[in-house]
Amino acid sequence: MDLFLQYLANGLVIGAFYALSALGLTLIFGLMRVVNFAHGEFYMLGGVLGWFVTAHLGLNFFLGLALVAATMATLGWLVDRFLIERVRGQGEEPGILLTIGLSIFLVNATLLVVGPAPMKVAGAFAEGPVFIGPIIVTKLRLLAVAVGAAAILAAHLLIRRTRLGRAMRATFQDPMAASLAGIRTKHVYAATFALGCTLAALSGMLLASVYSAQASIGGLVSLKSFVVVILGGMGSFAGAVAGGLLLGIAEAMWGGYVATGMVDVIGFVLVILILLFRPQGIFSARAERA
Amino acid sequence: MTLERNTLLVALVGALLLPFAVTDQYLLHLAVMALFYVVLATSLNLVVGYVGEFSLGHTAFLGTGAYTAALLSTHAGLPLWITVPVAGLVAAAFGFAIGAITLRLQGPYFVIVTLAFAEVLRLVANNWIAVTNGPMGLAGIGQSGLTDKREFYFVILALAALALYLSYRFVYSNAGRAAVAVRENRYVAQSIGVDPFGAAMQAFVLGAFMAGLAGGFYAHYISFVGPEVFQFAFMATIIIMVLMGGKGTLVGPIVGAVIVTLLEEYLREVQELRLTLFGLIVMAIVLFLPNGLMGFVARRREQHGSTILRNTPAEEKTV
Amino acid sequence: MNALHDAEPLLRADNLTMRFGGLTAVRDFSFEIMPGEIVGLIGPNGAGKTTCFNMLTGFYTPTEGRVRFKGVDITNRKPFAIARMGLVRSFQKTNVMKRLTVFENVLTGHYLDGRQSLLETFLPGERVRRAERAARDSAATIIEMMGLGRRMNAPAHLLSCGELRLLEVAVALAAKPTLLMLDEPAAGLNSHEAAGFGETLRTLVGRYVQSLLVVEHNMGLVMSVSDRVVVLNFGQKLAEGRPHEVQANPDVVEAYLGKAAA
Repeated sequence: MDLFLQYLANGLVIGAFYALSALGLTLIFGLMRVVNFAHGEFYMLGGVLGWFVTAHLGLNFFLGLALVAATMATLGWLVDRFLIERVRGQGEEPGILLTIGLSIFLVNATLLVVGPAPMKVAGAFAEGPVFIGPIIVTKLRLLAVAVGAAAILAAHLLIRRTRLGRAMRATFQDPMAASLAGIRTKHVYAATFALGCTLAALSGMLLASVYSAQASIGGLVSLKSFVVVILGGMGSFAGAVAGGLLLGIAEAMWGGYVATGMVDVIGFVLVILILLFRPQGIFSARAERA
Repeated sequence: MTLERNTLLVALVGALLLPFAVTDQYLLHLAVMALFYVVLATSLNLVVGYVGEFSLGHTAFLGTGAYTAALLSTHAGLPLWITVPVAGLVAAAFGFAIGAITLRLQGPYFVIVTLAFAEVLRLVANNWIAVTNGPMGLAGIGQSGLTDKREFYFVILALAALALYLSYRFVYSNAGRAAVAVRENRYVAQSIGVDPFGAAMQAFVLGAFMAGLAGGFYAHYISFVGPEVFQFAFMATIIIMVLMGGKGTLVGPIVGAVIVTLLEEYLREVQELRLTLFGLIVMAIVLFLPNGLMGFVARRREQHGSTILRNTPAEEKTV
Repeated sequence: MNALHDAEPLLRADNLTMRFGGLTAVRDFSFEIMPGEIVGLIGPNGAGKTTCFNMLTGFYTPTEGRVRFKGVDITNRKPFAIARMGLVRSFQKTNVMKRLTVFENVLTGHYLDGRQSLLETFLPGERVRRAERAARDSAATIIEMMGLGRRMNAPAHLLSCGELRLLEVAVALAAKPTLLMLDEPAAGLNSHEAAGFGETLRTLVGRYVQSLLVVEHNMGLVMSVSDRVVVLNFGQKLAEGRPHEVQANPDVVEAYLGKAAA
């Protein structure tokens, strides 16, 4: 029983990480209908930049996090204005190809600059275990879960409660009407992409302090994030959280009780089953399409 | 149609004569690799160019073909002329199974799930050590008495000719037109009696078969197969060939395969730099040359009044 | 044809109802199309005409009700299976394969004539070649007949609105329908073009198709072409009858022009 609780706790922690890292993807898809295949690379850049600002510039973790967020928001803004904007309104395929190209470019350019070795991001404080009843969790993991939850809440409030959020929702419902109402839609698109990019990078740096940053991690992150987002229903924040937790627990249980080697297969198998039986995701209500 | 056929025939004659003009082993090796990629790019093009869905999981078929040939050769000692056709058939069977699931999906879902299948197979190849020998891979695959690069060259040329013949027949047949109809407009296709799933499945299985043949050949030629055959880097290379040459044309992927093979060889020592460039090339093609080199040529020709089947899928309308 | 045979409708819809969530788009709609008949389906915007169309051709599964075609229940069949039985439709808003030429569009429409095994695809024998030649000849004939001969090799995206409408009908005809159903085929045509289009439609029945169902906004066209007109309003059948009867029906006038005009 204790073992089960430990697996469950591990699954919940990993699941929270998965949810966090999938947020940017689901935001960009849900609002912009862009399937961002470079998502994992934004995550990776967050980790690598996090390593750079903490290990090289010697900044403290939270200051570094803020700097990385600002840098990646700028990058996201530029990517949207110079790349995504050119294929807007042409359907999904050009966006998919463009972000695949961007992803190949970002991974290999990063490999050229920093090499393939893992890089440790200095954590916010010294690592140590926390005991909750029979369960052991490390402090850094708890912190990552807490910061992740805060990020999810903040993004949710930004979209639901602020002027920018209202402009975003208006733009994505009806770009023409929004621009007639005086909303500068180009900026709204760019801001949304920048936000998605920042969320990816924040999770990348946060998790690089638990594990480590690595130039080639992006592909795996993209795949897992897609799994999470498909499980929860594309475009839904709550779905991403639920999908992340489901995947985390499923992997922890499989790894704990069955076999450790093939843990990564679980997610793909779940996705294939979901797409066959409930293509709109487990948690989203069925939407009638006219 | 005739233009495309004549271009292919001229290319075939040129390719037949090449080994008599070139004796340098290194250049022959390059030619072998270029033809290997011609088969792969042609097979991916059937799915991307004629069904209009973007498969990121084509390495699944390359890999199953390669492992099939490797296992048949190392365990049963079968020669290349048996293992390669069997590799094609096994890959086609995988294509049928994977297609049955993925072709129900469209757009991003199709892209992601095909990628997931290739990834699952890579994980299996890595972990099912009893059969695949895990990350160590299968080495010492027999070369069936083919000692000379020139002999390998003729084998892969035959495979490339077969792949292009099958593609040509398919593309200009009733079945190929049905696939194009699905790509261009799913609703019209159904209203003239085309089963979109069935039409896509034909092209998908055919593509898988060819990729399997290429994989089987690769196993014998390189004499080693590891989980890398399922890797995304392979996929990226094939995508670039198809996009650069022009999807939805038969000549395009050949042009793309030759250019990218040479580029790849030239940048062989610097893998990261090469892929960095590839990433930039993909973005540039999407932005500036969405129909590839052949699409560019076709547009020039169109201004003089002639047209050929072109490729970008039409924007779908809801009924 | 004997009287008993005449009484058998080609298409028969019984009590069709379609709900989208809480919205009922079509309620309890029944009607028939007899062999040799041209039926016009009209109604104000949002009356549920296109929804009906989609239910009849398998693109929607009706919430309630059945559709029978040639005496066979086709309610749950897929669109392509229904097309294979001889019920072919066009789409509202032009739907052709824009990047293909006029000829390629119509040739593709001959799909059902030239279905072949995989072996025949790769090793085409005399039968396949003959079928291919026949399809090409037939495509050219249909294109000439629809008056698009001059545009044979033009890509569809370069056609004018009127030409696109003709091409749409040509593609549908290529599939050799028994019953052809056209969804707003004259949208975007001026009255002169529409009149010519009406002429063309009349010539199709009996020669190329057995019966025709036309959903249309252009009253002049519907009234001049149809043998019988069915009027839909708010998803329900409002009236049915010969064109002049329907035109005189006060309910129909009210639905179209408002109460004051009635």
